[in-house]
Amino acid sequence: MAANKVSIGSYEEDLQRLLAEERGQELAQRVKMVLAWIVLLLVLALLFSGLDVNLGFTRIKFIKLDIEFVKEYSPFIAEGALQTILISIASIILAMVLALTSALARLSNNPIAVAVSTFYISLIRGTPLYLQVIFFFMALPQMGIYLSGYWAGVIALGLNYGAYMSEIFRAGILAVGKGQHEAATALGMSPGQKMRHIVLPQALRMAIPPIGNEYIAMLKDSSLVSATGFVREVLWRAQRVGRANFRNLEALIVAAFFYWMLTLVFTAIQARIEARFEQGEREIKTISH
Amino acid sequence: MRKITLILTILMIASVILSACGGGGENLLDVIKERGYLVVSTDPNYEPQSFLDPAATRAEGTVCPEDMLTYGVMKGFDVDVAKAVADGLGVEVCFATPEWDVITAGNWADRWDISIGSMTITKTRQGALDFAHPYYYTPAQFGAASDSGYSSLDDLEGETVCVATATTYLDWFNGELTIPDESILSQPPSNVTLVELPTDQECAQAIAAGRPEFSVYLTSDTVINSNIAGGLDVVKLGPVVFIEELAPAIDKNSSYDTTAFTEAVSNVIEGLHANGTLSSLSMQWFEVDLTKDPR
Repeated sequence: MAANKVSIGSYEEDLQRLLAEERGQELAQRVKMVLAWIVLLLVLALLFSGLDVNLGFTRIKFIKLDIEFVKEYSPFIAEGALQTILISIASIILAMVLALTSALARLSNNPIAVAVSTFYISLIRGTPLYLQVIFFFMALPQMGIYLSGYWAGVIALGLNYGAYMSEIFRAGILAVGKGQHEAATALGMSPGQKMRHIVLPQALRMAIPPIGNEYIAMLKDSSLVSATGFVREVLWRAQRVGRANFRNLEALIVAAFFYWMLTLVFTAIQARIEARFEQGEREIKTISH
Repeated sequence: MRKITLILTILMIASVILSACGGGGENLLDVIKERGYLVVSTDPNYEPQSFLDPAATRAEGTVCPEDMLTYGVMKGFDVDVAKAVADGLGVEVCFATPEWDVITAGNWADRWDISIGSMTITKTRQGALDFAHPYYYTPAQFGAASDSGYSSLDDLEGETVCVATATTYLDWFNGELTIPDESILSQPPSNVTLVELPTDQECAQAIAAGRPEFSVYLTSDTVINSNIAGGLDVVKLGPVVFIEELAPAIDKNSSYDTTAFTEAVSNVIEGLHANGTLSSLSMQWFEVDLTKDPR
């Protein structure tokens, strides 16, 4: 009895020690990663520092920017960031709804639903996004439908990205193991319940990283909506003030900076969502152990 | 059940199409006056004709919809002329900023009423657009890097020239310029290789940045003046090659009747010519009077 107690105690101590070690390693990894990021940022800053270094045997010149221009016009370009965010958030919501619906339709047994879904994906993926934006803005009025520049853009972007993301959802749904379907059926779930409670939660978890990718791509594609003439987002503003002042490079770099910031914010949000879904996965694993 | 949905869908689509076929023929001038504002499209890429003031805020008490720009945020010669035209019609001026090629293509779907954006009258454009009375005239002029080594138009034979896409300058090179014959003063040099960039400003910037592909560009006399004033190391090359008449444009495919509107705009512009408003605006923005017909 006494020996037993000792062994349990040492087992727990070992476990605690191992866990602490693991946490320490994780922390060290994180610190190294952050340091590497800082170094890379410094290298990027050096590239645009405008420095002119004479090393004796050779001379290195870095890219020089007009800082006065950047200071003067950054606020004006930044105003477009709100437009960019509003367009891409509305579009991604529409795109997710369309993507999920068309993925489910594509995987259903209904031939009409499969036809509608495949036709939609084929037509939208096979035509340029610019045309789709102009279509919703300039062609629909002939049918008496007047969408504002903003909404024409949101619908075009939503439809376009919905078609691409549909394949992501389809891949996610197909990746859920056969055993999961069988287990759900064995528990007496209807096909609808199975989809809702078993398949989709797992499929979504797998779909999050590629959806994040699509969202970031959309953030930048939202600049096409400016062609309508009633939306003035980051890139449009940068190009206008850049051309007018002969400072295209500076203006585009300012725009790039804002896009990057938006991407960073979104990547952080994505990491949180991913962590939430992962949490569920871990709990299941613990229970099964 | 399914059949009912199908029939309903077909009926809905049919009703949308039918409703679009009806109507039309309403007088645009009346619509604008009732609405209280004139929607002008202009591309703010062209200082001093039309550009954005990043420091300006939206006009107070404006009736312009949220997604349009107001006078003051947009500035320049074209913008002032647009304001004067709107004043003449007794309404406020509002600006939309679509891409230039979307404007010149016509079929505006009634998104804006008029383009006041230094558009040259050409026979091709007249296929899609109606033009009101011209409000000024621009000479087309070659510009070159000051160290280009070119001294006359003949030197350009077999050389590379930069022009902006969808402009009259490009058309002149391609022999597709359809302005009246007496406005074309020289023929293009032969065997020229053309580099097309989105706007004239990119040509000037590429030359100033020392890009080796070309060192000469064709644009308006006013753009070259502003490039030189802006500190770019360029000079004018050779004489004026053609003269453009620049006028407000109105969509031929409008669902409204635009006859009275086009006439009213022409009347306002003739008045602005007569009372010297256009001349003084030209002096203010170009420091030269470009509003007198050179012929």
